[in-house]
This record gives sequence, C-alpha cells and structure tokens, in this order.
Amino acid sequence: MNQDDSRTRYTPSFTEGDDDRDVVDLLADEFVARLRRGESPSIDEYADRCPDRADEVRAIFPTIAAMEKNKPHPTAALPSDGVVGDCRLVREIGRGGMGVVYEAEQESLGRRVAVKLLPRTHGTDDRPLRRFLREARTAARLHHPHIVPIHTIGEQGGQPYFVMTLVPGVGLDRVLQRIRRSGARGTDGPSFADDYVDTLAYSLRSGHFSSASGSGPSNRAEARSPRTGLSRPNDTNQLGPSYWRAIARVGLAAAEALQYAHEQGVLHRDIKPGNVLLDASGGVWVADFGLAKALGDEDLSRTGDLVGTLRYMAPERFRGSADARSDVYSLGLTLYEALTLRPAFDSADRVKLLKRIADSRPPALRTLNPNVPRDLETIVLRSTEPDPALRYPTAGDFANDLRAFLEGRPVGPRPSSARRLLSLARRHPLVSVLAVSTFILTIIAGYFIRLYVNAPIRPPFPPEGPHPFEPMGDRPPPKRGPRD
Amino acid sequence: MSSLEDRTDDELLIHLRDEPRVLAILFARHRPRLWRMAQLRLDRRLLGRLDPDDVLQEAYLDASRRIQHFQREDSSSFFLWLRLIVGQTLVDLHRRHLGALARDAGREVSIDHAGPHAPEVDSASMALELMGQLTPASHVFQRREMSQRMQEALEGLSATDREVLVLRHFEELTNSEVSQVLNIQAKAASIRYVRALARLKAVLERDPEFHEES
Repeated sequence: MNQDDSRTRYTPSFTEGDDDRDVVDLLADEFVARLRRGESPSIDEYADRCPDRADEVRAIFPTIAAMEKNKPHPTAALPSDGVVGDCRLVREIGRGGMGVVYEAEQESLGRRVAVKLLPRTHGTDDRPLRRFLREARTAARLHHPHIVPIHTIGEQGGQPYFVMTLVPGVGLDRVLQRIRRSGARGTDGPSFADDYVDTLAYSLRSGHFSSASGSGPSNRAEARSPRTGLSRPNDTNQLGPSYWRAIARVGLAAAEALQYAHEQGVLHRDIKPGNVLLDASGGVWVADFGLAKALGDEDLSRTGDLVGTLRYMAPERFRGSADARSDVYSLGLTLYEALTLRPAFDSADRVKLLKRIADSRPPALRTLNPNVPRDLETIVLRSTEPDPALRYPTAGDFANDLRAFLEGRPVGPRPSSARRLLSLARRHPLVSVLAVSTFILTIIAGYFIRLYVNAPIRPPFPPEGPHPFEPMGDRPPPKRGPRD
Repeated sequence: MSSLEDRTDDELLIHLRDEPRVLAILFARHRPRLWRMAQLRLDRRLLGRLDPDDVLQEAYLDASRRIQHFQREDSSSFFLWLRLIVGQTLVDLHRRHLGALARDAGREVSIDHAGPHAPEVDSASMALELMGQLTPASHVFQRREMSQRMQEALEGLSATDREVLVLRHFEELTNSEVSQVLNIQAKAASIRYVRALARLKAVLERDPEFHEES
C-alpha cells in the first residue's frame, strides 16, 4: 500500500537458488514485476540500489523495458479475412484485460465503429458463450450520454465480439500514467496516441478542454499545441485546484452513468480507471458495462488481468454479493487513484491483495497529498467505506455530493466513528468480542484499582496524623492521590 | 465469485483429480503464458490454418485426458507440466499439418530437455510474431516501428541467448522455471540471462534510433 511495499515486495514462485543469482538479475526481476503491474519504475532507483554495477543496470534496464513492451499479448484470434460480422477491421486501437479493440468500417452503414474481440472459450461447453450473449444484450440496451453505446453483439466461430460507437477517448489509466511519469523519460517509445494522451493529461491538470467536440486522436495539430511551455509535475503536490475539479467532474459523469444503469437493473461490476474514457473536449465515457458478468469470472482470469480488476473490487464481492454500492466503491477507488496518482491497494500477489481489500481501508487521501480539498476527500472516503452500509446508498447520492463539491456547496457528513465501530463489529464478530471483553476487563480492573487506591483512607487507619505503623503492601502508589 | 476461484493454485491442485473445474481454472490462470509459448513456436507455414487458440484448445483437451498422470503437487511444476503438454501438442500439430516438411526442415531441435520436445523459437517465427503477421489479414494492422527493430536485434543473437530472453520476458517464466526447462542450475540460468540482455543491448545500440529514444 505504501511506496516501500511496492518496491520491495516481490515474491517469485520459487525462491530456492536465489542466493546464487546474479544481483542484477534479482533487481531486474523486481523491475519487471513492476512494469507488468503497469507502473513506471525509475531506472535510476535501481542503479542507486546497486552502486557497484550501476552502469550495467543503466545499460541493461532500458532493454528489459523494451522487451516487455514488445511482448505478444494473448488476443482474440483475428479472423483470417479481417472481417467480423459486417465490419472490416482497420487497425488496433486498444488492448484491455478482456479483449482487443479495433477501429473498423461497418460496411452496411458506411460508418466507422469500434469492434471489441474477446477471447474464445475453451472446452466443448457452450454455456459461457450463451451467457455472454444474454448478459451483453442487457448491457446493449443502455443509452446514456456517458456510456459507450453498443450497437451489435455477436459471435463468430465461437468467438464473442461486440460493435460499439467509436469514441475518441483514452482510458483514464493511461492519462494518469502519463501524469505520473511526466517529466521522467518514460520506458515507452513513441506511439500514435501519445500526443493525444499528453493533451488529455494537460487538460485534466489545467481544467482546459478543447472546445471543439469530437476532436479525436487524428486531430493532431491541435492536440499537440498545449504541450509547449508546460511545467511537468513530478509529484501530486504540484497538482492544483483545477485538477481536483476536473477529477470531480469525471467522477460526476461516471456516477451519473452508473445511477442510470442501476435504474435499468445493470451493474457494471468492473469499474476501474481503464474503463473510464476521456476525450479532448472533456467528454467522459464509461465502457464495458456488464461485461465482467457476461464473461464470467473464469474468463476474466483467463485474460490475465485478474489482479488489475481485483484491485478495484469492493470487499463484499469476495463474499459473493454485489449491488449498486459495489460499483460506487470501485468508482471511489478510481477517484482515489486519480487524486493520489497511485492505486489505493497495490499488490502483485492475488492472495495478499484480496486480504488487503478485505481487511483495510486505503491510507487517508490527505496524508498522501495534503492539497486535496477536504470535501473531496470526504466524498472519496465515504464511497470507499469497506462496509457497504456506510457508503453512499446509490450512485445518485455519490453524484449529488460531487456536484455539491463542484458548486461549492457543503457535502454530506463523514460517517461517525461510532458508526464505523458498529460496522467493524458487524463485519468482524471476533474483533468485537475481543473489544467488548477488553472494555469489560478495563472497567473491572478500574474498579479494583480504585478499591486499592482508596484503601488507606478507610478505617482502621485514622484519617489524619502519622500512621502507627506502615502496613506491608497496602500503601498507595506514591504518585497517585485518593482523588483517582 | 465462487469460492473455488478464490483459492490459490496450490489449494486447487489438491482437488485436481476429483473436481473437473479445477483444471479449467488453473489452465485459465496460466493461459497468457501458454498462449505466448504457442504463438512464438507455431511454424509460420501453418499460419492461416492454425492459431495459438487452436493449439491451446487441443492442449487443454489433452491435459484433461492425462490429468490422472500428473504426480507432483506444487503449482510451479504444474505450470511446467502444462507447458510440456502444449509443447507436445505443437509437435503433434506440426507433424500432422506439415508431415515430411517438418522433418526436412529439421525443426525438431530439442530445447526442452525435461520432456517432450517443443519446436525451437526460430528467428523467422519470432520475427513474424513481433511483426504481428500471424494471419494473412494482418497486413492491415500497423505495428509500431519498435517491434521491427527489436525483431531484427533478436535475430542477431545466438539461439541460446534468444531462448533465455524469450522464456523470461515473453513466456514470463521465473529464473527457477527457466533452469528447469533448460535443465541447468539456477545460477547458470541467471548468468545466461544477464549476459543475453547485455548482448541484446549491444545489438540494439547499433541502431541510432533506438538509442535516442531509450
């Protein structure tokens, strides 16, 4: 959870023989583990940790990053003719945990769309596929200004896909990554969308979005201009009021989308920064509604992004229950990450991550960044309460408080300590039994101490004057007066 | 999320033989690594006829048939066991589809001393992989220029160097797993890896463009 953890914690599945390993290899292992979690570890940090061979680290680590970047990703197999349904795939525009998104030409209507191809299912069982089609159809009925519209759902040779509106947006995860690493020379090479991500990072920080709506990644001349003369912050302390407001606005849009979907009986189940898309005109789009359920847990883990998804999951999900408040929680953690520029819960290890989410709350926002407005902190705190009963009961309530913050009105109160204690007792009966017994023991102990302390002023000793003798072991402790 | 899915690999392995879903769940968890193995080692002459998903589909069925033969009970050896099955499946598929061609081409060079032989990663299939040209349709998909440079650099390495880099980075094997697959000491695997990195870096450095960007 804290920064030290993410640096030092890496447990390979095998530890025997590590003593013999080249120290550069051991550091490389950790460096790679962090790259694979989507972090941007600094090479200098590793060079500093290995002063004898700092030059070697500096020489080799960029190569490691390049290898990792070029790694093939398990994708849905492409159809050999590049045609899915009535769409001709044009180019790859994104890769998520659950599939690959292509820009495509929908030939029947002559328009550009986005096609998401999902991994094929294994085995001879066709139930997963039927479940996908059923669940995805429900999600496709959603129509909201902040939800990526789905046009078609289908299946081609056992491979599920859906066709969506081509939104000129980039995932909040990538924008945050850019803000996080800005200033440092990234491990990323140049890519087509980099300028666009830069623009979004700039827009979020400055609160200035281009007024031209629909300016997508292709609108590069405009996209590039804000970069010049920009001071690049290296830490969250350089983020200011316009950034907090921009993030609150993103949260508001997403919360409104959630409220609408919940009213239609659809839970998102996988809210995380990667599923909140931003565009250069300030538009916010929530993607992949209900897809987590459509695909099922098994398929979710198959794509290798289980940890990326677990990180934002509400604790009650691990006990098998999910409702609107679970989506509220995941959106809360998404905002938390946007405000602190680091995940609220961070562990590459599944089991440890689960334990953390179940047992703890993330560190208070303002201890990580004292500049975050207190009201915004209150909102994020309330949305990420481990106990669903203490959270906003609906995404609409969450949205109302974000709106209040943006309009400078007072936001709802923080859950009181007493309610938190009750909730803790409800969730952890053992803890509460211990707490109550400790409490009772304290009272009993207090009673006896009182008897003991008061003893000298009771008969048989005279109230005033010197004692005829010192009673053994019955003298009050020197620093305690009878008023105790 | 049902309780079975929350269990660790080791906890699941106990029920491998009596609960059919266990294999599906474990296979799903290891799928990204197995997928890369299949993709990197699939002969380019089979492109268009087979893809890594086909290989994994066959390997999965094969694993479910052979599940009673899996003896050891720790998760690392289970992953290596699945990897062997995928390797075996690849060899079988190459034989079936290429027949005499496969033998003529001398592709059955063992890199997998611990069991059935998996085809070696050759520069050609790696090159194609990195270019994303695994299907005839892929000419419409633009790959970043970086991949081309990386592919050329990897081609410039010896088979030994290339193998250890592919195992560590693309197949995401740990050093210990690499040492088991290559049947060498953990220490030797570690040294081999760091040296291979240094040589890859030297090759990449000759490319001025790469040097500027990193």
